[in-house]
Amino acid sequence: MIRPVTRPIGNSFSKWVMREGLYVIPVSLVILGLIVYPMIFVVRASFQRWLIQAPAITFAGLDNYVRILTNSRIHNSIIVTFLYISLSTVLTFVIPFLIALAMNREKWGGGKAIRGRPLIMTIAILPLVISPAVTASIFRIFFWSYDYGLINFFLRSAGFSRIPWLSLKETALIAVVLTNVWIRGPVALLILNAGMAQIPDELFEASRIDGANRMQEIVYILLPTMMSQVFICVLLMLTSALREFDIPFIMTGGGPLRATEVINLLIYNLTVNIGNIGLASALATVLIGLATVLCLLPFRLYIRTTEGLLNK
Amino acid sequence: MKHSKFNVVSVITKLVIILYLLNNLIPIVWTFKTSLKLPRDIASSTPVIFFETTGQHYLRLFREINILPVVFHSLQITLLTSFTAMLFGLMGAYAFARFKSWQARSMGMLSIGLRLFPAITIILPIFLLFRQIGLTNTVFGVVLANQGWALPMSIYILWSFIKQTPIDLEEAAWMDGCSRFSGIIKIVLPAISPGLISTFILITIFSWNEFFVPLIIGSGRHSVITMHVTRYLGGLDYGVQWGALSALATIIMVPVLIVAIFASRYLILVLGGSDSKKVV
Repeated sequence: MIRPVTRPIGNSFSKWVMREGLYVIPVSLVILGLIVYPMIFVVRASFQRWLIQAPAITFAGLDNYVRILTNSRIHNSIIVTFLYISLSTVLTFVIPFLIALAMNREKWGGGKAIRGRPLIMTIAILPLVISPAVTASIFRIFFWSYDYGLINFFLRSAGFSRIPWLSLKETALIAVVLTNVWIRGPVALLILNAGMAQIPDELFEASRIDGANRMQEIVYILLPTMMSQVFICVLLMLTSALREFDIPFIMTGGGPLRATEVINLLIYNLTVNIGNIGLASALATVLIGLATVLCLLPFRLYIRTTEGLLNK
Repeated sequence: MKHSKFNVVSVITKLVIILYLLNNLIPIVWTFKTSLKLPRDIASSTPVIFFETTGQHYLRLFREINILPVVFHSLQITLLTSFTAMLFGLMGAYAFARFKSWQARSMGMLSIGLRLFPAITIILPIFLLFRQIGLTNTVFGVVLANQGWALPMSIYILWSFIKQTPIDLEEAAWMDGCSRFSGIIKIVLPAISPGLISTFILITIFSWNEFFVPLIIGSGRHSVITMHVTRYLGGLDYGVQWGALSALATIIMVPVLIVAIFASRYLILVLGGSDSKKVV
């Protein structure tokens, strides 16, 4: 490989600065200042007794972590987060997958391709570009509202009784999850659709000659061939559900009875409303650990599959 | 395979697609319609399809939150965020794609990996730091804090584009006496121009939509437009300012929807993998 500057002799660091550092250092400073420093700060604060009301910050050892293990509000929040993430991830995979199947029906179902794809894709990505804060507000008042919501209007028209979606413990989480599915669905659809469109038609033709039916074509040909897209899609949906703050914050504020208080919201409430920064930091540290396990363990796989995805 | 006129698969797939498109369009159209309705039509218990239009909700926004300076301020933050993220993102992405030193590699890995962490975990230290150096409630502070998500996103997308451009072109330019920098300007940038456009559009849309960072860093005087939605939400089922909220939502939605409709090709390119010719 030819390089514009030949390999350094002598003081290698200053040579490195001149050759690569001009590009690497400014970006590294921003990343270190905005992401790495705050993380170290949070981990340190999690071992401190730090209340906004109290003047002194003292070392607390593992006290905050012990409280995480014993506090019922935090337990509730962890369960809610788990439900929220798993429901969101499953739904934002399954629904877009079915739609992508419908969009690529000529692959597995035979027949003609869907017409008007550019228009369909354009409409399909619209929820993605609207601010989640705006979407959450719209859904809160136009869809899930008890008196005026469209969902309740349809329920009543069909002869059912109305449901106070956002005031019931059981339905509030469902409403928040479905709103999240509306927002994140397009990303999953784009990824899965791209994956399906790349599968060569010959695979399906060959399987059809061998006598495979439609279901078998989907399960044995289509799914295994687009495994990298499936993986990317699930991982993206998982992490975006874990990052979620705007939707529950605006739709329910964590209520009713903390039924939608995901960890992100609890950390916010602990910091802003209660002022227990030590405890909030300990929770944040746990969340960072969780995100690490969820995202960074398959990180190599993530990089490899994205490389595959983007190089095809 | 049977060739009947009435194909079940064809009917079901069409139905699924139409339902999905309706599902996407109804909330948007409904919001737009409500913003033009009279209060009595909004409060009617059955949805009103044909109605008398009114501009009173928009006028109210001008009166109550002085919407023009807010829009201008939002736009300022949005564009500054995008340009900063593009500039630093290009440097980072180029370094990550082309340099082999551990510094460059760990910078790239960190920025891509850390993109996946929840923002709430790191916003408090940023807020405390910014308050100490007087950056809270300033345009610069919000733009800088936005880099926490915008820069990793920009590095990640641009990296994937730069990696695909063969290094031979650049090497040829170096042989002809180009420096690294002018090689980037003359060879790499033109080669990844779809990527540049996509990244810029994506980050512009996301930073226009951003709610969380301005909520924490820029609350108060320098609020952005998305933060005003909470003003009209009211309680759970009472006190909702339907008309004003939908007018505000329309003002926030319309610019990004226009961009998305005209630039959908670029959004699909960057979000659905590079094989866009087959997708669209």
